[in-house]
Amino acid sequence: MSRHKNIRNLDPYAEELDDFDGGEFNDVSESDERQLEEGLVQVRGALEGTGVSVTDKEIKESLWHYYFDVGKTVNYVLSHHAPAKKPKKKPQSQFTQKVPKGTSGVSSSSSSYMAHEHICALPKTNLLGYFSGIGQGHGFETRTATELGFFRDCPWGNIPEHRRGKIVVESICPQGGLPGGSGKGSKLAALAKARKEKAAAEKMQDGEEKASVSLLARLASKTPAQAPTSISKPLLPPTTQEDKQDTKQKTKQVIIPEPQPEVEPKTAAASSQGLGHPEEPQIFFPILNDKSIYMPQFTSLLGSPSSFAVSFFGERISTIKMNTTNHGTFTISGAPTAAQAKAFSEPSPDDIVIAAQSGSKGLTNAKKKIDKPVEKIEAAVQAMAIDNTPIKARREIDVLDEFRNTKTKENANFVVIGHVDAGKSTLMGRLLYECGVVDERTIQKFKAEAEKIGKSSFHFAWVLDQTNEERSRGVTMDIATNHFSTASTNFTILDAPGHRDFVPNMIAGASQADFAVLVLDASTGAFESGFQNNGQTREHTILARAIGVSRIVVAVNKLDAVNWNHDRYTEISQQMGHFLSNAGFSSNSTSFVPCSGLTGANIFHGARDKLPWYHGPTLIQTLESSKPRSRAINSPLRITINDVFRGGIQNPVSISGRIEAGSLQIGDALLTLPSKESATVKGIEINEQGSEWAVAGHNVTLHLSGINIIHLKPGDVMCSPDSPIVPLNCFNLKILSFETITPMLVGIHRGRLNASGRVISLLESMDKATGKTLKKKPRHIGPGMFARVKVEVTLSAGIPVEKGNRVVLRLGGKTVAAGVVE
Amino acid sequence: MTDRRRINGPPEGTTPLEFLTGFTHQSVIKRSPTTLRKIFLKTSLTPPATGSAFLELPTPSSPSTPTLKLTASVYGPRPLPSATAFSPNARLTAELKFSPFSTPGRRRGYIRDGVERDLSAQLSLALVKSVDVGKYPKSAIDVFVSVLDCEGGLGDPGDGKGGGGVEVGLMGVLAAAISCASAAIADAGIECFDLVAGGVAGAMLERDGDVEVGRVGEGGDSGGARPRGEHARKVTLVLDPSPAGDYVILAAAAVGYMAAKDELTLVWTKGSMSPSSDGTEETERLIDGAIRAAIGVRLVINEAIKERWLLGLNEIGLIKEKGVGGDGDTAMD
Repeated sequence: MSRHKNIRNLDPYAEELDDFDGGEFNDVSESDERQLEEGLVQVRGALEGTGVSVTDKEIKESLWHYYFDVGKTVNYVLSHHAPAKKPKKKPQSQFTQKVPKGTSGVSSSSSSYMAHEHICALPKTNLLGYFSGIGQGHGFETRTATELGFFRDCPWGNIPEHRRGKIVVESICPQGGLPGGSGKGSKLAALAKARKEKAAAEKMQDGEEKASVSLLARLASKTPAQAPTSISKPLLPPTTQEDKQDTKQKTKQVIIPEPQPEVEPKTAAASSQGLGHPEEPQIFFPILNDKSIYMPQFTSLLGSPSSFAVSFFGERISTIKMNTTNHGTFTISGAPTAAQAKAFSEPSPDDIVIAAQSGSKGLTNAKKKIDKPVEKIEAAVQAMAIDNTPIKARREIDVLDEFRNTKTKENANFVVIGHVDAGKSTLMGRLLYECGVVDERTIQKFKAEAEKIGKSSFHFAWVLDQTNEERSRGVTMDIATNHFSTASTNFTILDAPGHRDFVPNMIAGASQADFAVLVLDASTGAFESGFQNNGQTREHTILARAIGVSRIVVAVNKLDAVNWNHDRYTEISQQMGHFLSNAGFSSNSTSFVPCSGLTGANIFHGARDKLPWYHGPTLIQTLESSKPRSRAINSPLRITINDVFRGGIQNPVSISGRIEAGSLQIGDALLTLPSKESATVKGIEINEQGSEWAVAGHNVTLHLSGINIIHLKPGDVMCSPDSPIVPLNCFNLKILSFETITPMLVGIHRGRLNASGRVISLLESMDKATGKTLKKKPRHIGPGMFARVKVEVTLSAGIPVEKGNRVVLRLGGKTVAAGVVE
Repeated sequence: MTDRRRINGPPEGTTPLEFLTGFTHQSVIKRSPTTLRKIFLKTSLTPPATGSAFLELPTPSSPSTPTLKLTASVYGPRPLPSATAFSPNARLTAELKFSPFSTPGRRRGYIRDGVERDLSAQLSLALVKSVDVGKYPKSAIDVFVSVLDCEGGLGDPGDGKGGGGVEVGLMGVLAAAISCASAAIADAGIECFDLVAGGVAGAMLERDGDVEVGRVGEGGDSGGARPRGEHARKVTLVLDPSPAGDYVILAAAAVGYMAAKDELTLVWTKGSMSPSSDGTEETERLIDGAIRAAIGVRLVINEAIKERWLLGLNEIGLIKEKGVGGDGDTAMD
């Protein structure tokens, strides 16, 4: 073993100073010797009367240690050479001092742990550790672990888990020593140590017992349950062992398992210690043997800011005192920023512009107020609210009285129906042309264009068919509305499409009509094809009747194609007359007119030369005589919306439709269904002429205010708020069936309104003539029968229908039934 | 031994002394395993950002002790850059960055490393579920989280305690980042389905009395028995484990949790439990624990946002300066 190792393994106080005792004073120089002698005299003088017995040698040693500082030496001697203490013991390890044998009752492991604790705070020179129980020589009497019987019952290999040692790497604590590895601490550290020892010595003077347990006593006062004596006295290892373990302070500790019998009480002691802190039951983590998870303590989770955070937030830390007791979940999805919240505190730029516009047109009375800036904002705010108030004050017209006293011409709407290619559009185009609505130039232009695409005979139809698709295909697709007037009446033409794909549009047109003009193709075979089972002559007629059209004018068209044959006309008239009376049209509300749309015969002017056998009125005269007799102008207001459009900058929301019942005037409030929004009538147009009022039967365009266009769609119903329609989800229908009806899916049509629905039950079938019940709850209803069924609307909340409304049920492109809501 | 006035080195030289880098162990706050650390959370920190928040775990003892401090700032919804393709939803990106000075013991580089990239991806995953991205088409929402200080335990080489177990530092950072960023998103006024709170739970290896005999304090000695061989290891669940704590975490789980919707947006587990079973039960216990921690954190977020909201109302004058009292309701009519 080299000398270095010796040095490293030395205990700084226990051994090195023993060596030092061995008389190395010989190296002290002469002057130092003199100084020592002088200091010795001074110290002796200072110690006079204190009763401290100390040898000169020790005093000199102290002087040497303190660089001849007499005061310090005196202090040192006083503190460390109490009468009972042998000076030799002084430099020993603190542990032997603080944990004297008599009271040190901690078990070996805990005391070793403690040793570690305290050594950490002391200058430490020994980087290598003593191994517990394995001696390293240096004059200490040691016994090996084997000698002590540690491995008595342990096999050579396959050491069981519980007998294996655990290597616990202790982190290195900083120490007071200076770098360089000298065994001695720095002077400062020595000073600190001296002060500590002095304090200890003062306590020692109070009484040996008390002083000797000073450190432990302090500990015990903190953790009384840890009072060491009672715990580990029976477990004390041999004394030599204890010394070793007390002094060991290591970077590595090899902890050798104790023999089994000794472990048990120790464990008990340890666990009782670990859990036995009466004052601090929650210190760190108590052992939770059960698997339950405790809910965290939420109440105290709000932390206080650190100084770092305080410097960030400044005074905001305490701007708003929060009440932290209210811990209910706070369900705001996003906190508004100040800018966002301010955004709506004043009218938007749009509102201001609108207000200014309406003000400049004199539409608002608020204009006079807009003088001062403050009032300007107020007025702008009021302009926002104007939406729901009438633009014009309601003039309280007695509409019914006005209507009775009016001298204007009557209005009549008629729908033109018939099989595809019967010449409906051409006939109406001719009518318009002859009445002067369309001028010659336009007709010539249409003629030239129609010839260009090889449809020269369609040029009159182009007056009504205005879209490219309709013109190129040569069929009408949607309702075309046109107006013309005769001497007595303003007429509105609703030109319905004849093609079977567009029957819903025909229904929409027919629902707006007072009467119908049925156009028949007289040419050979064409009338028959239109009249067969799937022909639209037949379907349209039935639908028109089912929708409520009770008057019909039959125009036998294209007589020029059969060379103006009277027999053909008679044949068609008879067949149709029979069919119409079957369909429910009375004979006195049915009239027949022979004509030719392409040539214009017997439309506006009679054609005696071509139709010598006909003496009746022309088409126009027939139409004039077919004016509706009664209108439900006393009923509550009902308007079915036919179209919704933007009527221009002044009128952002406009609708067109027929007033089915009731009357209205400018300024009236309306309720739309099913969106249940309210609107105000800003303007009324009848036949593109402004009007103050309108009554049932008028086809009107209404300009609305106070409603967004998204709330309106074709098929919706506008009614007066006083007597609104309640949208129905499920209702009974009295129907006339055209096809076999079982509980099935159907499309429900009423004017523009169509909704998908379902026949959910068949209530009864009825006798056609008497209306008596034939059978209750039939399995099915055959074609052509009267029945009462229950219909449910699917896919929507309900449709605005009421008692007496006529609806059509269709399925797969066929009309299966027509009925009346009950 | 001739010159005793000088301090001589040993003739053969020694290894230089090693000093502890810090006394982090000394300042571990004592708490029970089911107690969360207190959290300080406040919104509207960064003026140019649409929304921002600051979160820290306060340390009562020494101000120099590293603790978790981070800020989150939210920019947006703002238009996507013109180069990007059309997106019908808002695109949420999240970026988490450790400040160079944030990690104890070692300075970090400025360049984004793998850890940051991983945490950023997880953060954005955890947040995007809570934001109603459908409300903001063609927009970008950018979340930036900056870690100002952290407690270590990041899994860096040399940073570990070497005592086995897993490092929970990154999990703690991620959970705090989720909570902080969620508060910042709410501060930005972006529509959310719910707020996300992050929570961590760990399974702590319990070596009988030796579980927590670490340095409890100056002069203190818990007097625990010497660790001994154990036939079965006991495992205790600990909520919100601290990487500075002197205990061994066997396994840990971090979650992002939306308390109102009762939905997890993120689950991150690591470590191994018992080699015998498949660990399903333990994992569930861990995740349950993490959810409980997240519920606790959620209450803190709620309070922070409530405070922010009241501040906003105060600014626009809807409530009076001193009108906030009682149950914290406002004086709105």
